[in-house]
Amino acid sequence: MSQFKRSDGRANDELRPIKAEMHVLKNADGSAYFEMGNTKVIAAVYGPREYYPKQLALPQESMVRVRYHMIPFSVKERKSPALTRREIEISKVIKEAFGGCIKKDLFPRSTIDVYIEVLNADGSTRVASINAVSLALVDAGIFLYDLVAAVSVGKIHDQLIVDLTGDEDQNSEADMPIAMMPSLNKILLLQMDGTLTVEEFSNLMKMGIQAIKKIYEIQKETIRSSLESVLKMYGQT
Amino acid sequence: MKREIVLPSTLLETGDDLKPGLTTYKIGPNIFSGILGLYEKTDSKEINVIPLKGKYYPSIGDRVVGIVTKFQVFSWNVDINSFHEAILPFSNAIKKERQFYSDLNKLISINDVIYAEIISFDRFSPPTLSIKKKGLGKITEGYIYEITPGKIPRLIGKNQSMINMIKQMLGIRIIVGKNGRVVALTQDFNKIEILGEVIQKIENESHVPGLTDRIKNLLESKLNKTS
Amino acid sequence: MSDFKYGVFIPKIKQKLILNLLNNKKRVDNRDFIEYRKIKIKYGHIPNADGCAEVQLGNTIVIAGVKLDLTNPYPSEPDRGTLIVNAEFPPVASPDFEPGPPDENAIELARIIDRGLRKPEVVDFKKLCIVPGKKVYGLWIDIYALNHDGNLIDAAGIATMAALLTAKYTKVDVSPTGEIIKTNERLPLEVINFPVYITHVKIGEHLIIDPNLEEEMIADCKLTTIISNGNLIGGIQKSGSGALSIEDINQALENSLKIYPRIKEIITSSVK
Repeated sequence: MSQFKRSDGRANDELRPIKAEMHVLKNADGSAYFEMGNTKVIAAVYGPREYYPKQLALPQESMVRVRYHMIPFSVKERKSPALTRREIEISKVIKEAFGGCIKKDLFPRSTIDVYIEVLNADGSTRVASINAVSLALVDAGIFLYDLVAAVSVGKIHDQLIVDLTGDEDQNSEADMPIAMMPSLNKILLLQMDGTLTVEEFSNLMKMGIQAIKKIYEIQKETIRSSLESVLKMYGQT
Repeated sequence: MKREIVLPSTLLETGDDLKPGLTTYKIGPNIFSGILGLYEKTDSKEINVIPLKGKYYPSIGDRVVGIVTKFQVFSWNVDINSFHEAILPFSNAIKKERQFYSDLNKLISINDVIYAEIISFDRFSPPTLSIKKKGLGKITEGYIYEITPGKIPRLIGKNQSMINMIKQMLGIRIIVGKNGRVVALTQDFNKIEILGEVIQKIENESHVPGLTDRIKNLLESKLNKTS
Repeated sequence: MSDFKYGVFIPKIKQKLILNLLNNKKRVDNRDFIEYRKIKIKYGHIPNADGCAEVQLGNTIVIAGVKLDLTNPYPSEPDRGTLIVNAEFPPVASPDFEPGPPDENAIELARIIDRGLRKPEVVDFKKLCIVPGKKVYGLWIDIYALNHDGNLIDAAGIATMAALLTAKYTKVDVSPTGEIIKTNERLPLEVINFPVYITHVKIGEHLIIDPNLEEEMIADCKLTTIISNGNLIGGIQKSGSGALSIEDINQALENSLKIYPRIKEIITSSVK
């Protein structure tokens, strides 16, 4: 067996430490903070609310708009604040992921606006963003078929790994973010950059789904504990 | 009366004869929650969850507290904390026999607060309001509080028990809008603060049994301090 | 200006109440006229930034990040590092903020913060020179509002100072052939001036400090004073279309000089 070791000592299928919190911003209708290792993101949801101009609103359902953005000092070399093509593409795939998870026909001719700010980037920012947005949507009281949980998987030095850091992403032979609704077994986001054999892809999917189930439990626990702290206060648990 | 906290995708009931409501969905015979809320088993065939978060979902007959945002040709746009703005047509704002349209725009203008009834609504069109009935109209002074609309029933209580207790103990008039807006009709800032704490407590603890007693204790301790 | 605002509405009855309370020397949250809301400072939690601080001023949340890079000096100042201050009001922070480039309010905030850092200099920019005329350190300060509950300027000022006080940058050496080599050594920024940004608003006849969002929205106008090193006025900005009397301005300056040491103490004790 090769002496492969990840730079932070993790096992191939091990996730970085995760911290999550709901309702962190008061103005937004819903918000959440999500940390995967050193990747730290904040997500805010406004809506459902009127879509302007009114005549361009969708007649039968709500629009979903997503703006994924990285703060200039979130990356090693300062990034200009303007939206890059990468941010625009990520905004699109995140929007399409949640399009399959939100029950949109409840609020015709409205819009649900999702804003993501990456505070510190250390790989897997789009999946951390998706994990944050799920919690923010619940915080906003928006009808979801299920939470969306996401993780990145990839291949580095021929090893299959889960939850890539920034360095691992840079040096990988392939990196693949996956997002799904775990209770419904539906995949809502899938991208792959690099090269994989069919067998590697299949193994990575299995590893990814397992990791996603763990993240899903953390999300549910975060939601419950936001209510349970009050229950504990009155000895009700 | 055991209420359970449920999340999106929590399985609630199974049964071919059961129907999903605005807060649930059905796959096969199974009904799942679509929101974070409280679920209590009832005899109803339509399964619903009490929302703990989210904006107001309009319902015909509800009385709501709205803030006027725009002035159109023969109507006002009114924010009612929902996913659409509501419309108050001039014709629904005439309260006196000989009131003319030209008087109305002086009566109600942008940033005014009104207590109105929803007289029509379907998902595809903005809700229509009316202030014709007695007790409705412009609110000219007071303090507005906001609370999650799903918690308004808790603020009102069974047979109005909670809201009547609060009104009586504070000795002030309170208007409760089903859309999560509550107005204290008083200029007594001390009472305004106490009601604010009461509403905040209901917002934070509506899912914890025994709330009525806790609110009573809170009111008693705050009122004793100041008397 | 677009013809719609998702925005924040301050109902007339609330405006009336705020004014009534002020006439009785009270504010909605029970503060004095010259009292700040609770200030909480978190710093050093963004590893990719050279310095960062997140400030909660009441419910207002602002994060500032400091980054230094290698850049060319301005031709008119060949032996000094450069300074650029950028501020954004992203849509996360308020229904009033639209996505897009900074609007006039964000730009004004960035320029006000910049003014307090440039004269007197917050750091010795001569020390940020590497090869005169060729290479200097560029000091970037990026300010992001995360939740707008009034007085973004003062919160941004506190966050900027806390970020600068805790910033560390990579030392570079210059080889005899003029090549620039990055070392592994991290140096602290030496902060030699301490500006504090103090904002008042005028509502009717009353001058109050640290407005929350509602107070700021119904105010006739706003006055920000920058106090540098305790006794110097490092900058002034009046904004909003109302008017101030000379007495108002003198009162605001007097208040600011009195408050300066308290705010400075809060910042320095938080970043020890």
